[in-house]
Amino acid sequence: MLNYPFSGRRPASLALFPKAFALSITLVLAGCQGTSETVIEDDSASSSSFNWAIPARFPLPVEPTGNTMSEAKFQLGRHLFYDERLSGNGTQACASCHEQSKGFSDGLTTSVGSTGQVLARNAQGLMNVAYHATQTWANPSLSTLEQQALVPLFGEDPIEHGINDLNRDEVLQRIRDEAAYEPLFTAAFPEQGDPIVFTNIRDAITSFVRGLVSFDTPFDRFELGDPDALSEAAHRGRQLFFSEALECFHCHGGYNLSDSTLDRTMTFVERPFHNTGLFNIGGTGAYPDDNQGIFHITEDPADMGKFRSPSLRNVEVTAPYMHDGSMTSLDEVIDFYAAGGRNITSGPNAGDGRFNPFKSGFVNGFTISDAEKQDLITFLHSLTDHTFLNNSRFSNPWIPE
Amino acid sequence: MKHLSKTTLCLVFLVQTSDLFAHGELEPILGWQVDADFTASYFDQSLHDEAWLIPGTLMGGEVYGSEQGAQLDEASVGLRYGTLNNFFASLEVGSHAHGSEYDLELEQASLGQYLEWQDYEISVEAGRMKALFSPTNTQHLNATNFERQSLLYSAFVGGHYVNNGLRALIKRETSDHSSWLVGAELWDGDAFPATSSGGVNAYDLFAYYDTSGEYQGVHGKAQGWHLNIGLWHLGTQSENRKDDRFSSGHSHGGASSTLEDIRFSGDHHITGLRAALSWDFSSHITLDSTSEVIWNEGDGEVRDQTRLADLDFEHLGASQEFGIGSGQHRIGFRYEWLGLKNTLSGPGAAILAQDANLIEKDDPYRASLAYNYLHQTGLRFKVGVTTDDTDGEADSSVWISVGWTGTFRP
Repeated sequence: MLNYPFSGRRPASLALFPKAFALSITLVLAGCQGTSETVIEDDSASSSSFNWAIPARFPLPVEPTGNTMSEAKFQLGRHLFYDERLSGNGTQACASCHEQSKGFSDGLTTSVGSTGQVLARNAQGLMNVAYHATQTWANPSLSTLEQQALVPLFGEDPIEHGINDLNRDEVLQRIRDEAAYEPLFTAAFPEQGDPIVFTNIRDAITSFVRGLVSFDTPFDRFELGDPDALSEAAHRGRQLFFSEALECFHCHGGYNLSDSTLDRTMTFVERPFHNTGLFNIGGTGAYPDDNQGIFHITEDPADMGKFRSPSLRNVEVTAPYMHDGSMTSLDEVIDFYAAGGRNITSGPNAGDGRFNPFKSGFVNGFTISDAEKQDLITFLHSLTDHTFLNNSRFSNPWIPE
Repeated sequence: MKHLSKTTLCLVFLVQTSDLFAHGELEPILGWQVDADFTASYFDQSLHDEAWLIPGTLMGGEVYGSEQGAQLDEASVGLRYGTLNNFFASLEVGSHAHGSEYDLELEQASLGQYLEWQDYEISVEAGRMKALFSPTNTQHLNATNFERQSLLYSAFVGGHYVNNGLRALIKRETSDHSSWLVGAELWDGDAFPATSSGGVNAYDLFAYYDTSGEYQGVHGKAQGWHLNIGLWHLGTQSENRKDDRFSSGHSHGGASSTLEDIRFSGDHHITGLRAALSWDFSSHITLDSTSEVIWNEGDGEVRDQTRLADLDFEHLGASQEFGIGSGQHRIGFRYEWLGLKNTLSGPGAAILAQDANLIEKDDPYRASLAYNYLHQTGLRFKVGVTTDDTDGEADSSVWISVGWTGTFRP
């Protein structure tokens, strides 16, 4: 690079000349500006009768035509979500496995149903679940919350809420007997004479869960243009997260930190599932019989062990991790991915997951130092939305504030 | 060659600022001709990032930003060979700065023939060629007063249009000092803003009128003037076109798609009107003015991996250049302006407009003022100042450059 002569500093006249030239050009031509514009016609993708309360930069979730969002449905659903009477034996609410302080997960390895049956899978957090292209860990056919909500309410294997043909009338009567519900149901379904029915209960609960949206993490604020929103360590961790070396972003990228994301601005829907090499029983690629991923639905051998990438929002508070809750800390998760899979050396599930024949091509292992790991964890902590975790709008309405 | 008369030097400037096409396809040569050219510059300040993005337009091709520091802007060597029966061959290899890297590119590799029929001079040519629809497209930086390509061509055709195709030119002289030139070119489209999908994916048509004369000038002396005016049209079609300046295939950072994920499919209809006038104000002073207006319209769709939106665009670019020369000295001023109107429709329109960098409220512009000194050896020294507000941030820089152009006929 050439240096200015003698002093090494720009001569004052030379420094001022370009600025003076720029100013003169600007003044002379100020009247010639103003024809550029960008017109957006988004087919009402950005309009809704429901107040989503999310920054304009983020797209709105899909609203099913058969269950459009309303504040009344949201509030009714909120009451039902926290109501243990909405179960066979009156002991289980949705909130039993989805606690707000834990990002609407439950902190258990796997959840426990109303009858004490231990489920095979870890309870996922419910933040921004409205943007999931599929619901649950491994069912490509469950694409809406309305389809998914019936599973915990009425499922028989495993039993969660335990509502069945023998007790459904009794459960419904409990709801009818609660005086607080009549005005809530009437407001949510004004066109119906007798709105306290299970389809409306389902629609209200799903409206509440769909409304659990927020984009107020330090990561979000950084992406929206605040360069100081992330600490230096989190910024370094972000660069690692989005690097080709670690490739985290391939499955956990996008504004919702998951590649299984759908919103109303999308035309092409991707519903991916991935085998990350957690198991490789006997070297056959197999996963435990009660948890084989979408293979259970598709029966395609290549789908063995494939699960949906969960959103990493609030991952700091949604431990333990993986579909079976087998990893208790983010340290353990990072070590697992750095190894390229998990090697189980003994027991009924023995096998080296690193060589699972159905493993995703993105899980190849990587080298990471302890300092880099801490930076990555710091970044993952920046995905915690404390506003969401403490928002009274999402909290238990049956407990006085 | 060592001591050029003032008149000759004025004519040299006249030639450099007038609108002869770079390769003189309608001026047959016999034997070999070698053309060489280079220009290097130093910018005091960066005017934009290496990946120069003008909000409001989808860019591509060979356009890179002006960064602080020194770089070799252009270097090229061209060979032409003509035979007795008017066949000719052209070959040109050039190097352009791509940010901090340099690529060697084949700019010209073609065969052609020159014909005469009645009053018409005809040239047909095929191969890899620079498009001749506008003299601006074929100008080397060393033939201009400035140190950056036309803003209009940077925004609309990726810097300059070089492609594989066929060309036909027809020229007719209407008098001793006037002529018409009409041309048509067909391209395979493997060059921004087109893409290649077999067959013809781009074409252009152009017509130029060239005339010169004399007028009663200062002190009643006859002074010369020269006018070249023309109209051109470039039509292209593209499919899943991406900005080739981003080498990787997908985005690496952040929570949203980036330009690396954006693809455009659709048509461009680009029409230009160019007028270049030069006149001898006196025996010592030459004045010139070059104006060009380009309309870039089209429609298609923009998409990323999950979203799709229809895009209609109406872009207007205007460039006005003034110059004054005396002997070996020249001062030039150029103002370039873009008006960019885009309409995106569909559910993905808002997000795609953001991710594709199509949001623009202010008109991008660039202005440059420069002094040139043309040495008799063919060296050209320039010093100038440029103010640039094309990327949403107004910046100014002082710059200097040195270049050289030479033609040899062994």
